[in-house]
Amino acid sequence: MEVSVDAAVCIGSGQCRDISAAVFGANPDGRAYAKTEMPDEAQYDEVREAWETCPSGAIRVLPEPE
Amino acid sequence: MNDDDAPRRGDEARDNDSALIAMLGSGSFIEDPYPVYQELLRRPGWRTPSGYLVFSRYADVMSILRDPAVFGQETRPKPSFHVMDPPDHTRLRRLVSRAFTPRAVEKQRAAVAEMVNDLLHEVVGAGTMELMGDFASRLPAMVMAHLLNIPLDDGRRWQAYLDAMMQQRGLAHYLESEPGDRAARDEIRTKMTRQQADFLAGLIRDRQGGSGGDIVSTLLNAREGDESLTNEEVLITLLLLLGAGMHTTAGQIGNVVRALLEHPDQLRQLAADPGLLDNAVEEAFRFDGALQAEHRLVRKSGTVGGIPVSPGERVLIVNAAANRDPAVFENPDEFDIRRANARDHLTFGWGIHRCLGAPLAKLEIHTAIEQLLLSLPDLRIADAPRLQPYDRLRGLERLALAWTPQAAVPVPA
Repeated sequence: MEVSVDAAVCIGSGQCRDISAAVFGANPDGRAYAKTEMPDEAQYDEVREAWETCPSGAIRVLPEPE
Repeated sequence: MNDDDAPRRGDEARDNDSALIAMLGSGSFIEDPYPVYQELLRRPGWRTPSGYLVFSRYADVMSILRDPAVFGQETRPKPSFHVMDPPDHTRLRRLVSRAFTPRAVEKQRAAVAEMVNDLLHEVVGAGTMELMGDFASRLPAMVMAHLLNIPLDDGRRWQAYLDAMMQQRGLAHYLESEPGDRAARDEIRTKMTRQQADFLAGLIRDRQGGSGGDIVSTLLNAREGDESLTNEEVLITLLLLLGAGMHTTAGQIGNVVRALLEHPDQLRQLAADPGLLDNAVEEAFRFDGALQAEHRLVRKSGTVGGIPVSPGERVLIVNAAANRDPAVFENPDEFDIRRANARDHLTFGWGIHRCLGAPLAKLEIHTAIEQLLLSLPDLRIADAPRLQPYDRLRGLERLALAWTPQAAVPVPA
């Protein structure tokens, strides 16, 4: 699984960081970034949840979950 | 910060204050607040007679919105998550956020298109309509009813309730006065809130124990360990969702239609290239947003653009002024549907409290404009637009439209 955040789309809701502080962090401007492009398998569920709840659609996950 | 930016004291400052206060108090502020906002952009941290510190510059507004630890929400006795701080805000918002993501909202596209079409079908042959009453205030209610699986009778029930809620404040955030009889308004508001609460309480009772995928059921079934939401928390959350998505969206529909029709050169560009619609809608959000300002309560000491703020102070952020900040938007008072950074507007706010319904609002408005322009040839404003008398929420009370009725019935998108 690959994960990234499109900073131009991010509106700083912080939800991804709340769901998975291990995978998602915040820049000084409040926008999110992915701490790793290739999360561990143990983190797949939380990455999927973050992707699902992101209010702006800024999180990209490949392959895209159902 | 050079000497020109340093706070001025003495007669000059008092004269400037009086001038600004006079501008705010005049009837023309509601008609056209934007000249006042240009003045506010020159006076970061201005203190209003009602005791708010006003911030309007885009950079200042952003630094407030992205720091909820310093700038918290002013709560109330029975708060919805909108007026909560983390972690309570986080916990409650998470329960409903899934239903409002762009992906989830996209699934509603066909249903919304059908609702728009049904509303237009009622007027298309008439050649005239009053946009707000005939269309803009009805569509958001129908969409919300569908999304929440709550019978709303196309919103007429809720209009009275929401009107009562709205009538609370005129310019109370800027000036110390509120128009009219506050006691009478409070009484109406309390009565209406009881009525709506009774209606929703009945609905909650009916859904209890069910396993539906709708939002009411989701809220009722939500569990975190041994904790679940009380019926009162469910009720308050529902009132928030219903309340937040109606007058705002209705107002914005009117503002977008007005902006396009008052700028025929832009309308022509849109007709020539319908692919511009998304950006045209974003530019209309920037140019004339339904949400004009928000407020926060300072929880810790901090600074905004070098101006110190202390705990307990109230801050007013003027999103609509930030949307006209020349430091971010070139020729900010120009309505330009090709504007490259139109999307950077702050009409939905930003950060943890950014409007949950933004994707839904965009879908509704995009679909509405698309169908209006397709179904109503030579669409034009038929009478002077009339504004609602509110400062924080900007929307029309009345927008008379006329067009040349076509023979064929419009085809759904």
